[in-house]
Amino acid sequence: MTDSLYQRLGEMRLPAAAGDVDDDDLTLDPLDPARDTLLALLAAAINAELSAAWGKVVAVVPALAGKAPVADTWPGPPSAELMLQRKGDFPILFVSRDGDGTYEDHSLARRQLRQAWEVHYALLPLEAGELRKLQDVLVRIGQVIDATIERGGHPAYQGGAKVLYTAGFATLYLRRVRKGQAKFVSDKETPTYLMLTAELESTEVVEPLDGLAGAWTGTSFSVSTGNADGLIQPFMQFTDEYTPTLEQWAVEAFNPAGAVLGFGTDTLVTPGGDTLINN
Amino acid sequence: MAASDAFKAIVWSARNIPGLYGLRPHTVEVGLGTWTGVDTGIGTKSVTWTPIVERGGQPPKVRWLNTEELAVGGLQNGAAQIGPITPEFSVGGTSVATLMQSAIAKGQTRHVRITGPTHPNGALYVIRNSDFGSALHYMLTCEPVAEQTVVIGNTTFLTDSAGNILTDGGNQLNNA
Repeated sequence: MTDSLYQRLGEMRLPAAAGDVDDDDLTLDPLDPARDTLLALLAAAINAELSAAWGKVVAVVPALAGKAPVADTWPGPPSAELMLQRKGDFPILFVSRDGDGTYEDHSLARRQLRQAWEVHYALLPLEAGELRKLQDVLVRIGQVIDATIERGGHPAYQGGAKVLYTAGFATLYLRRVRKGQAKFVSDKETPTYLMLTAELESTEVVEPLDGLAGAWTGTSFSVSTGNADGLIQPFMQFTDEYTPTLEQWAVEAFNPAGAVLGFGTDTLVTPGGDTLINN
Repeated sequence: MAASDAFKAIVWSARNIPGLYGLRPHTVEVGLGTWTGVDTGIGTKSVTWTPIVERGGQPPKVRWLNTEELAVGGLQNGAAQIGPITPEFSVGGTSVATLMQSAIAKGQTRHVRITGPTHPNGALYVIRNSDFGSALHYMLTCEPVAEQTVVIGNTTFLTDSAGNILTDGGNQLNNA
C-alpha cells in the first residue's frame, strides 16, 4: 500500500489497517492506544494502592461491599446520556481526551499534539455516614494518578513496564484536580454523586514509521539515566537541525515485511554476500 | 385477586379502545442490549425487545412534549411522554421490572424504542423520568438518542390477543 502518509503521532499510526481492529471486539479503540493504556494503568494503580484500606471500610457499606476502588471503567467522558443508557458499576473511572488538542511545532522538523485529558472518578450516592467513611478516597485518587504518571507505569500493571512511554506519550503531567458533583448530574435536587476530576496535559510527537524515512534534516538527542528497571524521563533533549549535504541514506520507500531492501536501484547486500530482507 | 385488580382491569380494557380505532400510531418497546465482548460496544450486539401494550396488544399513548428538527431527515429534539401504562395485575398490565428492565447487568444497555409515523424505522430513547406513583397508571418520560436503521439480533415475544406475553411456564416465548 503506497497511498498513505505513513505517519506516527505518538503511537497513533497512519494508515490505520483493518488488522488494527480486533476481529471479535470490532471497535476503533485501537486507534487511540494512549487512552486505553492510560485507563487500564490508572485503574490498576488505584486498585493496587487503595484496595487494602478501601476493602476494610466497604465491608460495612452494603452498596459497595466486595467492590474494588475502581469497579468499572469507561473510555470516554461521563455524561447523563451515557449513564442513562449503560448500566455501570460504581466507583467508576472515566478517561478521555478532553478540552483542547493543539497541533503545533515540536521543532522545526516535527509536529506535536498537545492534548488536554480528563480523568473522572465517581462514587455512587451515599448516605451521610457512608459518605464520611469513604469520601477521603478522592484525595488519594489524585495522589495515585500523579505518582503513576511520574513513574511512567505501576508495578501492578504489566510488571511495572513504563507503559506511558510505549503508549506514545512524549510528556504527560497532572495539572489540576477538582472535587465536586459528578458531571452527569445537572439538577441540584438529585442524589449526590461525588466525583474527582483530574486534568492532565500530554504531548505526542510525530515520528516517521519504521522502515520509512524522508530526507535527513537533523538528529535528535535524548539523555536520561536509569538502571535495569528502565530509564527515568529524559532530563535533556536537544535537536540538531543542520541540513547535511550527504545523499539520502535510508530506504526510499516503505517495504512490506519480506521485501528485499534496496537503495535506489541497488539491492543491499552485506559484505558476506547476504541480501538484506525487511523482516 | 386483589381489590385493585378490578379497577386495573377496567382501565386496561379502556386503554385498548384508541388502538382499536387506529388512534395509537406509535408502538413502544423496552429493550435490553447485550454485547458479546467484555463491555458495552465491544463485539456484536443483541437486543431483547419487550413490547409495552395494553389489552389486545394495543400500544400506549405517546406524546411528544416539544419538538424541534435539528437536521433534515434526522432525529428530532424533544422528550416523549409514554402512558398511561396499566400496572401489572392478575390478568394483564406491565410491571415496573419490565418497564425499567430491572434485571439489567453491568455493561448492558436499556432503551425504549418508538416506532411509527414519527420514526418509521424506530428510534431509541432513554428513560429520563418515571412516575410510578399512581396505582392505576405509570408514566415514562423519554429523551431521544438515535434513529435505528438496521436491527441486529432482535428478539420479540409471542403475545395472545389480550397482549399478554406467552410463556412456557417460566420462559417468555420468542417470536423467531
